[in-house]
Amino acid sequence: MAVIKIDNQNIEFEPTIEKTILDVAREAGIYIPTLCDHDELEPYGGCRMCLVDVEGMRGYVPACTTTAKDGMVVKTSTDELNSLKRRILQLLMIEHPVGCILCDEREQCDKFRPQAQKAGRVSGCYTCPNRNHCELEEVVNFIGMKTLPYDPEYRDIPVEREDPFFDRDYNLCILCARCVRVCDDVRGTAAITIAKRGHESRIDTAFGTSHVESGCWFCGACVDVCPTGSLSARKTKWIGIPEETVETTCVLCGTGCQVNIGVKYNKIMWSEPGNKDSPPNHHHMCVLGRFCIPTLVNTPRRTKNPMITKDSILVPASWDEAINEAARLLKDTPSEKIGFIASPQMTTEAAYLLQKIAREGANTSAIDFMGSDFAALILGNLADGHDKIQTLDKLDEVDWILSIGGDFVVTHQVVAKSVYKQVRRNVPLIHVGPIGENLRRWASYHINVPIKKIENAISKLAQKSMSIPSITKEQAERIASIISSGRGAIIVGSRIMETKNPDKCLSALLEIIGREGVVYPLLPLGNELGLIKAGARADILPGPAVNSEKGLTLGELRDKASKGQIELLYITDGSVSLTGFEKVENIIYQAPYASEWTDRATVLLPSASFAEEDGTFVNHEMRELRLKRIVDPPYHARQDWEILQNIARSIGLSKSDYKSPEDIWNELEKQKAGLKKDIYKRKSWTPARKDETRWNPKYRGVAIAEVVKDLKVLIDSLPSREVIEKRESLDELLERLQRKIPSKEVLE
Amino acid sequence: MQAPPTDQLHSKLIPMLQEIQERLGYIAPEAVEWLAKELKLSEQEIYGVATFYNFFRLNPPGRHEIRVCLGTACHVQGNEKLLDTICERLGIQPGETTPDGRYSLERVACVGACALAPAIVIDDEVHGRMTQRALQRLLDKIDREDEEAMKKRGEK
Ligand code: SF4
Ligand code: SF4
Ligand code: SF4
Ligand code: SF4
Ligand code: FES
Ligand code: FES
Repeated sequence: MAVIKIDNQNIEFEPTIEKTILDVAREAGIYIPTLCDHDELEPYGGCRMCLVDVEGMRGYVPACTTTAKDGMVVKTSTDELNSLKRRILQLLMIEHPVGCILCDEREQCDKFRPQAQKAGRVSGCYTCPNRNHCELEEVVNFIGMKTLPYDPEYRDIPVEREDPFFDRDYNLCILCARCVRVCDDVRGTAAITIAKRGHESRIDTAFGTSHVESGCWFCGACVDVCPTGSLSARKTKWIGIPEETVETTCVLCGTGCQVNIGVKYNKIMWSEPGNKDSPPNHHHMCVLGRFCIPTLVNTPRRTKNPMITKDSILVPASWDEAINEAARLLKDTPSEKIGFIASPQMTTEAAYLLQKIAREGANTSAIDFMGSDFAALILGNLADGHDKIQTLDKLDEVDWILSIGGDFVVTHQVVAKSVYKQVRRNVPLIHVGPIGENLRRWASYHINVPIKKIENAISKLAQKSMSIPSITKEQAERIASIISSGRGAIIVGSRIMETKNPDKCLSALLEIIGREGVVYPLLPLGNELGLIKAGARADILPGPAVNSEKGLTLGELRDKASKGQIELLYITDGSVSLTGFEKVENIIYQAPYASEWTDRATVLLPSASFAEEDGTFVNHEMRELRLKRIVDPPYHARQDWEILQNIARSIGLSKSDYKSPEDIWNELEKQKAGLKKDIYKRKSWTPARKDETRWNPKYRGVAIAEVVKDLKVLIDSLPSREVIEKRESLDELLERLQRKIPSKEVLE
Repeated sequence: MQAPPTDQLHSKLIPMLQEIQERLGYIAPEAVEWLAKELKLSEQEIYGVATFYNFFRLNPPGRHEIRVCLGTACHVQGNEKLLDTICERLGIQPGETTPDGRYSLERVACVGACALAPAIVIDDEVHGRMTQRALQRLLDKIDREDEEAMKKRGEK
């Protein structure tokens, strides 16, 4: 223990090289103003707002970059220090729209105009999207700045709005570089930089291109760290502050990020990263969770009323009528002619009820969900494994990472962020298969084979072969030595389903990582592992446990339906393709979104979206995460579990009186788990098609880009981010460019 | 609020940027793209470094290179106004080259002709005590000469 004296207060602390005066002061609750410092970022020492006086040190030193040492005597505020900081701040603010900061009526204004006024240009705090939570303003208020000794000079940079999702007004920028640092050092994207120097410097992309072109993923991390109003989410910048904010789980991929949903006027208007301490994402997200949720839940494409078919026309009905009709169909149709399709984006509890209706009510195991093969394959292969599925923080303990089956930088930005942290500490990353430019920058080794050939490459790696396609013998040797020692992690994407033998592929991977290794399956859809636990698959019972009875997989169900042997289909996922099911007479369609299934439905049951329902989501780390009913479902829609419970009652299922999803969960928890290894060994697999595995995220019947137009802009740009291997040499390039220089033509 | 870029990669990057500049005369966007792939960096990282150092230029040099001095003496003598005039006449900003490749425009710090402020350097020749009229005349003259040269070439 060491002791430091800050403002006459003796503070004990554990000295380390990283522990700065600022850290110690913060722990003791002493406020030192800061602007460029951010707890996720390395100290930067740029803004000088944290200057302190340390006895025996010359001049003033930044508290954020100065290591705290035993016996230091620190003063955070003296008259001279304060006036110095005021002068620095004044210089900083010359180019900032300071009108409101210097205004005498400020207090009155805040009282009577509590919300940012919409304006084309920010001319001061009252037109600034940041005004309700401005760090810059806090610092200004603390240091106190009531005058500006020079004329303000507006930079007059055009506001950048051409990119999707967020606007950039660099007239407000104080060049703290937090955005650049979070994008470079934390997200590993480097879509922005500080261009030029001195007076001319600004945040920019290379040659001022759009963010779509600069490789930005629109993760929003820069927006979230910016202390000013320079970066602002376009959808929410003028709507003030939420009346209520609730943390829930995003179900749009298998990560299950914690997201803070903001509500105003009883509507979901904001989605912002969850709290810093909330795993798995710790305040980081991808574009879907960060920017798409409000539009997605508020779209007019939601299903609104229960409906039933009368005289072959779908007409609105009461809930009772619709439930009774569904129950009647379930009772009247012979078991072998009924099929069920669950949704990987419904709650675990709802899926459990759906399988219960199938197994106990309709007496069939013909139930499956889209994407179940990949999830079942993973869980099946790991069944007798040793805690192979781990949380993302465990990546901190691995010595090498092998990734395969897709580019997780594109599909799973939050997993990518966790991997990038390891790349920064020089953990070798070996990637097998196609790759985008961003991941290519991270990978220490890239085995560049088409997806169909990854199986072969993996088995060669497992055999420690020295002849591996696309890399040299020396590289193969180095890879072999890396993967034969230490603890390894495997990041496995769902594109392994495009190979002929995904199970062999996975076994080879497990052989490579051995006993100590960990596996991170990149579940593409959401709650796949929850649905497996719920038993929403033909060969799996709740628990999950092995089902020895014969059921039907989605593929088998489709085959049977196309032969006209299915009379009733109960489907809860509009994203499943209708192809093959055209001959099914009766369809019960339960979903929050209208889709191609709507017109085919005999009974339409409008259900809640994930932000409107209670329940449990199991993410790719096997973490059980809560979904919360933040607002009521719109129109007459109801939560899935409520609808299913009503149906269960109507068909006379015993014990179907649940008061809440917890009751259902508790019942599910009582089921004995017991998956056996290798139950998914199949003689032959039908490889998944590429268009099924390409990143185009869907949510229960809508492709998200269909309703969120900005997302489409990003998705359309993705092909240009793929790696093209054949490239010209520097000589060839320069020769080609020589010919293009216009002045050369004039000179000739 | 900026520290010079430091990284071991930059020790590789800077010599390559220098080579490109020497051989091509400037750092073209295509060259940045090429370097990004070669060194496994993002284009932004390269652009940040290239624009940090004054000796890299990111636009092709024009047939006539105009440098407007904005050192203290020239600044006081109102060279900013002359710079604006040039920008307007050529339709480009400092750091850019006209699409026909004839002019490139640069801001520079003191060119050592303070006694003659405001000073503008065109094709390495210092023009001191510049006025709006003198500037326009100078540019008119260059335009005329270029036109004649083009004509001659056309006749040949
Ligand atoms: S960034 Fe902060 S200080 Fe600047 S105008 Fe916006 S609210 Fe005011
Ligand atoms: S949105 Fe994400 S990727 Fe894009 S610039 Fe900001 S931090 Fe970088
Ligand atoms: S945009 Fe925001 S985060 Fe980035 S440098 Fe400017 S003020 Fe800082
Ligand atoms: S990474 Fe997945 S869970 Fe997280 S915000 Fe994106 S879609 Fe949602
Ligand atoms: S917080 Fe220390 S210099 Fe900015
Ligand atoms: S300031 Fe222009 S020549 Fe010295």
